[in-house]
Amino acid sequence: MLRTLKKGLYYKRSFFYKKNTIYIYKDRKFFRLNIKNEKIITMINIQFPDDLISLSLYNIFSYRKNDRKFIKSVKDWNKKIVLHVEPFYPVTVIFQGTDIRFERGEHEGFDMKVKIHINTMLDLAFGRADPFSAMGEGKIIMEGLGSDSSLMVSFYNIFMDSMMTVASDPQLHYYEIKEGAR
Amino acid sequence: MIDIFGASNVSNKQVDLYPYSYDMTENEPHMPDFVVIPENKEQVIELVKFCNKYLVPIVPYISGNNVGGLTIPDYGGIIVDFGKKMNKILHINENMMYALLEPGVTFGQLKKHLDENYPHLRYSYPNAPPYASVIGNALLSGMTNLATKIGSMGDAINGLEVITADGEIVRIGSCFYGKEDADVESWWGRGPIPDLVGLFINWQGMTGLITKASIQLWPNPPIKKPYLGIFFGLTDIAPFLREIGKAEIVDDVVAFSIEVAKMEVGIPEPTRYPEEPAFSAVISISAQTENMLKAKEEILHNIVAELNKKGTNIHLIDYNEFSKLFNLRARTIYELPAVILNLVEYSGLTWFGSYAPTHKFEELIEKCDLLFKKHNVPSYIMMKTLKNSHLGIFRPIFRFNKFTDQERMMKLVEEITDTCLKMGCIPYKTPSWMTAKMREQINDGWLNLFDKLKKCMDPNNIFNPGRWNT
Repeated sequence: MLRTLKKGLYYKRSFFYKKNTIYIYKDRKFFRLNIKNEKIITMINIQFPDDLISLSLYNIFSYRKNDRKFIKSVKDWNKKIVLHVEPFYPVTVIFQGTDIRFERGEHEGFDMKVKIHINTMLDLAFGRADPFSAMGEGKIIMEGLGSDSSLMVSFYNIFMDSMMTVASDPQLHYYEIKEGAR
Repeated sequence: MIDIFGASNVSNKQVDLYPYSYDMTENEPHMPDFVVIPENKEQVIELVKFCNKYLVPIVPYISGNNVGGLTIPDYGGIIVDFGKKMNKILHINENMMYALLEPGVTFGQLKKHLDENYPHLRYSYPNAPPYASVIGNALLSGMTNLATKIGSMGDAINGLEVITADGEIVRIGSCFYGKEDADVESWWGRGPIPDLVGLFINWQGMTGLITKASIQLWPNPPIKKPYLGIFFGLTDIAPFLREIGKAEIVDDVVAFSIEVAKMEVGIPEPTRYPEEPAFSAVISISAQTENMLKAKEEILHNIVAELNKKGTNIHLIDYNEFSKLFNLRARTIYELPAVILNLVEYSGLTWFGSYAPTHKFEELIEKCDLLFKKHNVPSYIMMKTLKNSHLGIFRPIFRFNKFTDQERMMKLVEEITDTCLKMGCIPYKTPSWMTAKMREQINDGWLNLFDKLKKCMDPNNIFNPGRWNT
C-alpha cells in the first residue's frame, strides 16, 4: 500500500482495489469507496462511427453511457432502428446485447424507421415541441410500430430522452468542460 | 549585447536557441546565433544600431505561430523575442475604440482584459490559439471573426511605432503629432496623411521593428446568434458567400470542408461519403435588439431560399443547439481565440492561405478538391469573404507528420499553389519558396519598386533577410 501511495504521489492520481474497497488517491488525499453492496454496472460499448449523423448519435449516447436507466433500456434490446434525419441521410442503429453500432443507410429488416427533420429534432430536444404533437402534425414519420407499443416507449427512452438530457446541459464551452485539453 | 539587455536576457546557448530554429511548417530549420529579450524600445534602438553597423541579421519573434516559416532565421543572426517582456496592454480608448499594445500581447491576454474591464468592447479574433500575437497577426493581414464586416486585421491598424534601420523611432498615423512621445489618446486613426503603415504591413519584418501598435476595437452587441449552414453541393458555398456578404447582416462566415468537422471530433483521416454535405459554415450574427436579430435572420433565410430556387441545396441550423448534440469540440472553430484541435494533431502544418477573387470560388473548390483526392488526402479548405464580399479568402490547409509524410504532402501543396496562383489568388504569410513562384508572375514594375523600397528602408538587409527572396 505504501508503494502505491508513493506511486499515487508521483502520478498525482491513482487508485487500487482491495477487499471490496476502492482506494482513490486524488489531490494528496485518500478516499475509500466501499463497493460491497454496490451492483456491478454493465458497460455499454458504443462504436465510434465516421459519418456525421452517426457521430451525433455517438455523442448523444455516450453522454448517458453511465446512466443506469439508459443502460437498462439499451441492454439486450436487440433492435435495428433506422433514423433518417432530414436533410441528411438514414442511419441504422443496431442494438445488440451491450453493443450499439451504426451503419449508414437503411438496413434491411429494420424493426422501426423514424424520419424527422433536423430542426424538428432540435425543437424536441430543446423542449419547444413534444413528440406526440410532432407526430400528429406529420413532423415525425414512424414505420414498423405494428402492435408492439413497447418499441415506441423504448425509442423515446433511448433516443428522445437522451437528446433532451444532452440539450439540457447548460455547458456550451468545450474548454470549460475539458480543462485538461486547454 | 549583455550591456544592452542584461545577462539574463541574452543567450547563445544551443538549448536556448533551438526552439527558435524551426516551426510547424515545411520550411527548413536554421539556428540563430543569439536570442535577446527586450524590455523597452531603447534597448531595441541600440540593438538595431549595433546590427546595422556590423551587418547582423535581426529576426523579430513573438510566439512563432505563423504558417510561413517567417521567424526561422534563414541567415542566422539575432532573434528578438518580443513575446516575453514587451507584452503590455498600454491603453484602451473607449470612445474611439482602440487598444494600444506592445508587440508581445496575445489574443488570450487581450480578450481577458476586455472581458473583465470593457465588456462592451470586443476585438476580432482569428482561427489561432490564444497564445498567438495580436500585432503579429495584424501586421501579416490575418483573418478575424468579424472579417465579413470589417475585413482583415491589417485593415484595422490605427498606427505604429517603428524602429527603422538607422535606429530612428517613427510614429505613424494620428499619433504622429508630438516631437517627443505621443499622448496615448492620439492613436485613433491612419489618415488623412500618406499611409506609411503600408511600409510595414505584410513586409514580414523586413522594413523595421514594431514596438507599439494601435488596433481598432468594436462594439460588443448583447445578442449573438450563430447559424450552421450545411451545403450539399460541392460549390454551393460559393454563391452563398458572395450573397451573404452583400446583405450586410453577418459579422463573419467561416466555411470549411465537411472533413474538417470530422477531424475536429477525432477522426484524423476522414472520408466524405457521397450523401454527406460537402461544406459547412458557421454564420455569426449579432444584434442590439431581438427585433434587429429577427430582421437579420429573415434576410438570411431569404437568401438561402433564393439560392435554393436556383439549384443549390443549402440548409440552416441553430449552431449552438446542433453543436451540443453533435460534439462540443466542434465549437473551438467558433469560440475564438481557441486552440483548434485538428490543427495541432500532427507535427507539421502548412497552408496556401490566400486572398482570392470570389467569382472564381467555384473553380478553385473544384480544382483543389480534385487535387486533394488525387493525393489521397482528406480535403481541408477554409473560406471566408471580407468587407461585404468585396474579396474572398481561400485557404487549403495541410496537416502532416514532419519526418514521414512531408515529401508527399509538399507535392500536393505545390500543385495547389500553382493552380491557385494561376487563378489570381494572392497568398499571405508566404514562405520564400512561395514568393519565388509569385515573382515569376508579378509585373517587373512592381518588383522593381518593391526592391527599391526594401533597399531604401533597409540598405544593409539586416531585417529578416531571405523573406520574399531578399
